Amino acid sequence: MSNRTIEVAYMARVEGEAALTVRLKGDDVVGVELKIFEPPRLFEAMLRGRAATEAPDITARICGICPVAYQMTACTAVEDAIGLVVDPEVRALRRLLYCGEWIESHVLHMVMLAAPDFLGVADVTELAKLHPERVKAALRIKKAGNAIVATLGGREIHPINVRIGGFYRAPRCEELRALLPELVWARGAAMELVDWVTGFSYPDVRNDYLFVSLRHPDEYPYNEGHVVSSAGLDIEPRDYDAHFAESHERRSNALHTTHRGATMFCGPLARLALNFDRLPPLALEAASRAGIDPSCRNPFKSLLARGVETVFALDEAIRVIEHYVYPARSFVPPVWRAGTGFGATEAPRGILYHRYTLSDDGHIADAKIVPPTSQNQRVIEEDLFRMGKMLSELPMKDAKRRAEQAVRNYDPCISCATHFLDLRIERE
Amino acid sequence: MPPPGPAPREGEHRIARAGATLVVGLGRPMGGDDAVGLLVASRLQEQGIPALRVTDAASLIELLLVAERAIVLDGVVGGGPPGSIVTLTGDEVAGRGSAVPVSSHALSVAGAVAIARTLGGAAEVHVIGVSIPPPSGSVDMSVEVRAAVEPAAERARELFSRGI
Repeated sequence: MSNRTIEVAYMARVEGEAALTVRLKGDDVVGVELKIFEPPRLFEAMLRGRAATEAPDITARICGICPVAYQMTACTAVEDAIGLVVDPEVRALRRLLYCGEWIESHVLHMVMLAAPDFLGVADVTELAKLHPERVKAALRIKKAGNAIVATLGGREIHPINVRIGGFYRAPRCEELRALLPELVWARGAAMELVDWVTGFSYPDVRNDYLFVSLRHPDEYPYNEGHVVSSAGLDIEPRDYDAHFAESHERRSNALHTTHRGATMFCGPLARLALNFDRLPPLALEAASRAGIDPSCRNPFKSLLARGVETVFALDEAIRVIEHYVYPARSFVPPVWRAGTGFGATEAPRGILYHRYTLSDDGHIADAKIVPPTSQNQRVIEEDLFRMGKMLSELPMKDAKRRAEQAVRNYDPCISCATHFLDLRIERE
Repeated sequence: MPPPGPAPREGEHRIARAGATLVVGLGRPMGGDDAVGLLVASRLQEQGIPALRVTDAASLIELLLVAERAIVLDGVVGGGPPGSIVTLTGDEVAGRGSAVPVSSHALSVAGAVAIARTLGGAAEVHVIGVSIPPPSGSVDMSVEVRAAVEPAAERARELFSRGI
């Protein structure tokens, strides 16, 4: 058998390093190497010695596209360290802000990345030629999410309005209500998007996953809740480190997270499975139309979970705005004391965990940040191992595409540092 | 009655109303050399040119859709020694954006230009790229790339003043 190595260069804004190699021997995958460079590690060191008030703004810069997730988690963890409880109005505004980021992230992934795969077109440019109205609608839905982030965050890129205890400035009722017409339109358009992607052809896959997500007593989770799993785990975020460990694999710059040695899976599909009974009626209708329920273990159907969550996020944003009351104060002033705080929130890609140890004057002595991509790294590799027979039966070009698609199911946050993925499939 | 349409981004009214040239910098905050597009945009803002700043190429698509003419500022790899400045036309850039990125965080400028053109926007685009080395994970900008900020801004000013 001849050896074959094929490289696929993804031109992005800048190039990075080779990120994925799949080695095939007959029907078996004998090696998978997914290399992800993780900037959060650098930020952990950078945070030491800085004022805790800076944590939301510094960590927001880890990812230019998911600043809200980092800001919310940093606030939650710092506030936990000092026993600060935010006011109900602020709590609602934080949910709203997170809705904005989910909408942006999910719809971008669904149409720009997943749809070309499922429809077998080369890229989103080709997709735009075939389905211009779908792409335009997706961009418009995304913009509705952007508008939430811009209104609450002060601006769209690295929002500046978030602070420990709340917001520097609370939006006026009329500012938020001005967003409603577009959000209502987007909610309907998102439901149509769900119907569209439901019609795609999905590989027949069912894997036995350990799903992990947050779970809140009453709500679909954003900023609060216990860390739960499909195996019955139910812990507070402060116990995360006792149950989840990180190890370094020589081939990768990223740490691999496991739950007591087992591979875990976080993100939309896990969240949906573990919080299905927390979805409001409209999102349940979206799930019903998509034919997805808590038993789904097909990673390719993460696309449908994203669709359902997009409908949910738009519906939730509308609900929050309709019930919004301008608060008496926009933040609770922090009172500093020494201690360690823990925060876990649901970023679009899954659980984001922060831990900070503070000095008595509110400076950071130690920081730990675990992004969702680190938690999913192992399951991505294992999915590729399981796809050996499927990949071996496909022509090389199609095998590459299917392997890429398997990685894309998790929408890994690779480009925070490496904007460029080089995929290699080697056949022995 | 249908809603009037999405709320405009900062600057969109101006671009759409006046048929003005969109000037936009793209980059990663605290991304070391990859922040250079944002820095050039900031420099132009200081000089009175209404440059916008975005951190993802999807937002760039939205802006390009309302602009007939655009100047895009970004870091590029492979454009010569670090700090070199290259100017590419929309045709030159769009032809390079054919791949589907692995992550929604990785859409490219090339892809953004190609998509915007397919959807009827961005008839005339110039990309002013500052050559940067492959990302190292450093949050600090190299001396060579920082030194290119002013010349890149000057190139953008020149194009802007010509009304491209």
